[in-house]
Amino acid sequence: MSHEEPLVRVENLCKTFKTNFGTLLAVDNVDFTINKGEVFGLVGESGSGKSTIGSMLVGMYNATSGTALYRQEHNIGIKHSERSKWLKQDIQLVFQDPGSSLNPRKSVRQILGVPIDLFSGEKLTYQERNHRIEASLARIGLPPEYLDKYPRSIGGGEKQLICVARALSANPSFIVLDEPTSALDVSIQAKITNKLLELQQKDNLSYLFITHNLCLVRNICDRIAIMYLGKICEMAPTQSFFNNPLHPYTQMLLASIPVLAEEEEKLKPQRIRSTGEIPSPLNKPKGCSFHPRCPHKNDICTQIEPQMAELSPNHFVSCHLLGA
Amino acid sequence: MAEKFALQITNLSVKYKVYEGTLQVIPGLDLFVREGERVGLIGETGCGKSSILKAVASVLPVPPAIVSSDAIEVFGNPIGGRVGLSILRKNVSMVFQDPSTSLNPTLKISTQMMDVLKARFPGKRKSEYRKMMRDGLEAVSMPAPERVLGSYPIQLSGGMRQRVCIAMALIKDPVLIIADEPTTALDVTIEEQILDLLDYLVREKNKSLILVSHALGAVRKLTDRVYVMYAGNIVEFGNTADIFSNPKHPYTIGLIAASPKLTGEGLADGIAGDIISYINVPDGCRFANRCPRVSEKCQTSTPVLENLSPDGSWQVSCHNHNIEEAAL
Repeated sequence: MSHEEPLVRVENLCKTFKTNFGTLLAVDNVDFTINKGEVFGLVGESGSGKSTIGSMLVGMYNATSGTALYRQEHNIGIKHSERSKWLKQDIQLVFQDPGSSLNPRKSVRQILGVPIDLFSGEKLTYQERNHRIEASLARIGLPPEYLDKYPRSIGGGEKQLICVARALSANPSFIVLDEPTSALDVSIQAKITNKLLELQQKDNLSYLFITHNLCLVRNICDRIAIMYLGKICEMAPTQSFFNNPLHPYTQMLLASIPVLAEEEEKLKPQRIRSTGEIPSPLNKPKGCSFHPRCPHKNDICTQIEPQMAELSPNHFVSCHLLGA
Repeated sequence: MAEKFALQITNLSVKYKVYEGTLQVIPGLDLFVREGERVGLIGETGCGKSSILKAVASVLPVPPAIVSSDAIEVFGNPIGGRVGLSILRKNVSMVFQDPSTSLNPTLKISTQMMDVLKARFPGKRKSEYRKMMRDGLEAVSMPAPERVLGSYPIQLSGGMRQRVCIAMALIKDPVLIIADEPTTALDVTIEEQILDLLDYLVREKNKSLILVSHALGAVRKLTDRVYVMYAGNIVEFGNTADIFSNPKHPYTIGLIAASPKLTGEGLADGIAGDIISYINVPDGCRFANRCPRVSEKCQTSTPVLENLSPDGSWQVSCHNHNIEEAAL
C-alpha cells in the first residue's frame, strides 16, 4: 500500500509519572503512525513503556506532552472522561489477563450487554438487545450456550475470546491489544491470534498489538516498533525488520529467542551475547539509553542521544553507529 | 541395569479429594533421570507437572492429596519417612518460577543463604560460611556479591533474584536440580542469560537437571531428553532432537505447530478444545476429545507407552501414531 491513510498519528509523545523516588519518564518523545487496516506491533521488555503508550491511546492517562491524533483531527492525548462518546466507542481495549478483566459476578450475557447499552445510541427492545448480544458472541465463533455461563466456568482461551467480543460489540475501528495471549497456553494462543487476524481482515480493523513475543509479532504484524526504556529504537515493516535487524538491541533481542528448530536458528542475527539488564527508568543512562549494554558503543553514545533516522524506506533506527 | 539414576519414579499416582469429587490427576506415571542428565518436562497449564514435582519433594498437602507410588528413589534411596526426607533434602534442590515470591522479603540474602548452609554443612565457622556464600554468588556471575549478600530481595532486579535462587540451589551441592519454569517470569534477554548459566553450571558440575516448562524453546536449548505430559500422563518421551524434529504424538505435533516461529510461515490452528475435567475422567485416551486422529479405539481403551526405537529410549502412547499425516 503506497497511499496509506493514517489512523493514529503520535508525535513527540511523553508521559511522566511522579514517584517517591523522583520523576519517571515512562514514554520519552515517541513518534509513530498506525495506518488504517494495519496491525502495528509494539515490542519491548518489561518497563520499556509499551503498555503506557497503549493505555494513553485508550485514555487511561493523559499525555504529559506531545500530540496524539486520531483520524487526523481528534486529540487522543486526553483522558477517557474528556473524550467524546464516539471516540470512546471507536477505540477499544483487550487486556492481558482474561481472568481478571471479566467481572466474576456477571454472566457472559451481562458482560456483552454493557457496550451495547452504552453505545448503540437508540432504545432497543429486549429482543433486539438479546439478538445483538448473540450476534457478538457468534462473531467470535462461540455457541450461544456460553451466554448464561459465568467466567469461572469458562476456559482461559474462551474467556479471552469473550473479552474480544466485548471490545467488538462496541463496533470499534481501532483496538489496543495489550499482551492478549501471553497469559494463555501455546495451543490456545494460536487459536486466539488467528481469530483476531480473521476479524481484523473481515472488518478492516486496525490493531495496536503490544507484546514481548517477537516470534508472534513475526507472524501477525505489518509493521513493528521496538521499545527500550521509553524510546523507540527501531521501527520497520515486518519483512524488512526480520531480514535486516539493525539496532544492536534488536539484534540482541532476536539472538536471545529460544527457538524450536535448526532453520530458525539460522535466521537469527549473528550471536550477540546478551549482557546486563534493563536499567531503572528512574535512573536512565546519559546519551543513548542502551549504551551500557551495547557491544559496539563508542564515546558519542555515552554523551549524545541518537535521533531516529530512516536508513532504508520505512526502516527507522535510532543509533549513532548506523546514522548516515 | 548398570546405569545410575539420579531420580526414578515408578507408578506414581496423585489424586485430590475435593468437594465435587476426587480429581484423578496422575493415574500412574514412570519417569527417570540418569546421573548427569538434563531432562525436560513439557506440558501446559493443569497437566500435573507441579503435582509430580511436589510429590517428589514431599510437599503435597495430605489431605486433600492422596499420593501413592511403587517407588520414588533418589540415587537408589527411597524417599519418604524421616531417613528418606534427609536424603531428599541433601540431594535435591529446587528453583522456582517466580524469584520475587520464593525469597523471603523480610530477610537479607545472607541470612537466607546461611540457613541453607547451616542445615547442609553444620558446625562451621561464620567466616567459612561467608566465604561459601560469596563463592556461590560468584559462580552464578553475580556482580558485587558482597553487596548482594547485605541486600534484601526487593533491592535486587528480577534477573539478580533468580541468580540468587540458583546460587542457593547449588550452594548445598545437590545431585539433582529441579527447575520449575525458572525463566517464565523474566524478560527474554534475561531469560537467555539465566538459561546459559544453568546450562553451564549443570555441565560444569555434572549435576542432573529437571527443567519443567511450557516454553518449548528453552527446553530444546537446555535438555538431552524430553517428557511431554498431557492431562497427567506422559504421552511421549525421547531425545530432545528427535522429539522436536519428528514428533509422533498428535499432542506434541500440535503443540510444536502452534508455537509461533521466526520463519514466519503463519500460525497453525492450535489444538481445539480444553483439557479434560479430572473429576469424571472418560475411558480411553485422555487426549481423545481434542485429537485430530481420534478413532473408535481411543474412546474405549487407554493407550500405553510403546517403543519407537529398539532400545526403548523413545516411546509414545498413542493408538494411531503410525498414521501418516497425509492420510488425515
